[in-house]
Amino acid sequence: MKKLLVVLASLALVATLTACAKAPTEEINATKAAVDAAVAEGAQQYTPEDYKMVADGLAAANAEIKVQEEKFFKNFDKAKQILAKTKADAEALKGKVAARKEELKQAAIATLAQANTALVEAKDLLAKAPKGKGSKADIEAMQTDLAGVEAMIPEVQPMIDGGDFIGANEKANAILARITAVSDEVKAAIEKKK
Amino acid sequence: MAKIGPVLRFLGAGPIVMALIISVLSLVGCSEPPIPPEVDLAVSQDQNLWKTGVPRFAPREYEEYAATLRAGQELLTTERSKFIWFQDYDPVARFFSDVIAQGEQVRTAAMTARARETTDLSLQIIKIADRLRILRNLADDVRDRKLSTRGMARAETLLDEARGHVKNGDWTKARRVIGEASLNVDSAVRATRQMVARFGDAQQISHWRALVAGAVQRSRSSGGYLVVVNKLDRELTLYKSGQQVKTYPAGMGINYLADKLYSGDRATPEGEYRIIRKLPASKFYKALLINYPNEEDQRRFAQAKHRGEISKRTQIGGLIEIHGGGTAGLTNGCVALDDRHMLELYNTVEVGTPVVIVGTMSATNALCSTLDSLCNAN
Repeated sequence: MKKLLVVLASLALVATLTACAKAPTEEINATKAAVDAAVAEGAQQYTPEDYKMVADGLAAANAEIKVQEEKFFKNFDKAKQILAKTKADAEALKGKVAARKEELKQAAIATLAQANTALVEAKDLLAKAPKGKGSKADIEAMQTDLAGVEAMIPEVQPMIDGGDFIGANEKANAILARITAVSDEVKAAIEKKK
Repeated sequence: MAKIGPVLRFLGAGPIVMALIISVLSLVGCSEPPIPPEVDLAVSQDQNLWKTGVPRFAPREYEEYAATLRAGQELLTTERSKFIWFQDYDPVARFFSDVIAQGEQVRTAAMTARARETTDLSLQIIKIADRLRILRNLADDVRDRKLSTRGMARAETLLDEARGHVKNGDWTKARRVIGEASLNVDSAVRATRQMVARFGDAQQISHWRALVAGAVQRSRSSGGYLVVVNKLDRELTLYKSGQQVKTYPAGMGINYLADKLYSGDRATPEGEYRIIRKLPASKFYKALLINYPNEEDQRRFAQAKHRGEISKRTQIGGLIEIHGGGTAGLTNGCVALDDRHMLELYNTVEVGTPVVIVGTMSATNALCSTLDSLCNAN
């Protein structure tokens, strides 16, 4: 009887120390889902440094879980802490990526609008420019240039619609710069005629 | 103590105490050895490599490095999984030292690749920009605005866009946009070459030279005046008895390098003409009307219509003059002189004076050599 009690007590002790610690499966799944959501939002493209932090966080949590799973006396507290922080970071990152994308989108839209306005102004300038001897040739060349750049404007919106905000920004900026350059040339031609 | 003594004796105190001692020793008796500092250094290095764009600039090298880092982390996990008494982090420290060394090599490789790629793309942009500049200068020099094409403006804009992509380190987009810009320039060069190919055609140049030589010979024989217009040089030369008397700068139209074919093409005709009327009060000071279209012009026009190159309703045009008004402007195919030169010419020549208009007399003219260099540069 005594021996049986001793064995039972020992088993109870071992069970108390080991069986209670279970791998935080729910936390892992929730954190992974949060990281995946940030990736789906475009974290790798728009905020690569932040993406790296959460990806490393998830990897560190997995490594910690693996370590604990191999131990006789398991303790997943540290893994849970890392997972909780990584999940919170990933959720915040998703919002940050969305904000960054919106910022770039609005910048592209604004630059495109500026380009359209600059185009109208440049056309007005060209229409007003004196087409007398000496300037007519230049004006015609500038009109050709402007028509060439104008033809590129419709290419920006599909890039915005397709989510290529960085590319759309670069194109819109290049178009705006070229239209501004033509406008400056027209102004110089007008000034020359005065 | 006296009260619990019997209880302990009842339970068999010896084995329980031993089990408790072992448990306590396991849990608190010795702490886990510290993780080697190389591990944190390697993790920090990896984040730094990522931050500086190393995976983009040296993807293959970074992937190899990342695989080594992962192997190191596996090693660390395995070591940490061992019972405390059996953990040995020396091999882990050595492994991570190697990881750090590999990381530095990857960083160097990435920076080298970045510099090389940036330089390569920048050189491509410069090369295309140079070709564009030559085309622009050519259009400015010959003042034929048909040489300024929309494609050139598009290429210039694309190059600006490519510069932005290079700055952002987005080489894929930069390469694509540079490729598109290059195609636009190629297209502009081809179009330009097509337009001015006649100016490099030895047979055509021989024909123009023969026209002028024949007219000069006739001027010599008759002792009369002759007007020769060289389109590419933008010059009008007056001959008397086969000898050059004076050369005047001349202005022409937006499409003057082309041989006039129909009304409204704004091209200046080429061939042998004569002055058929003197206009003392023209819209452009004074004018000398020539007999465009001559028989050759009419034959070419009819052929072009027959071949469907021009519409049935298109007219051949006329009223091609040598007039005043200045050389800086654009005519619709006429030849324009400064008013004081026009006055001299007007007072010198008479109705019936031959007028020969040719593209060029030079087989090595700047137009063709520039275009050749543009084509060879590609």
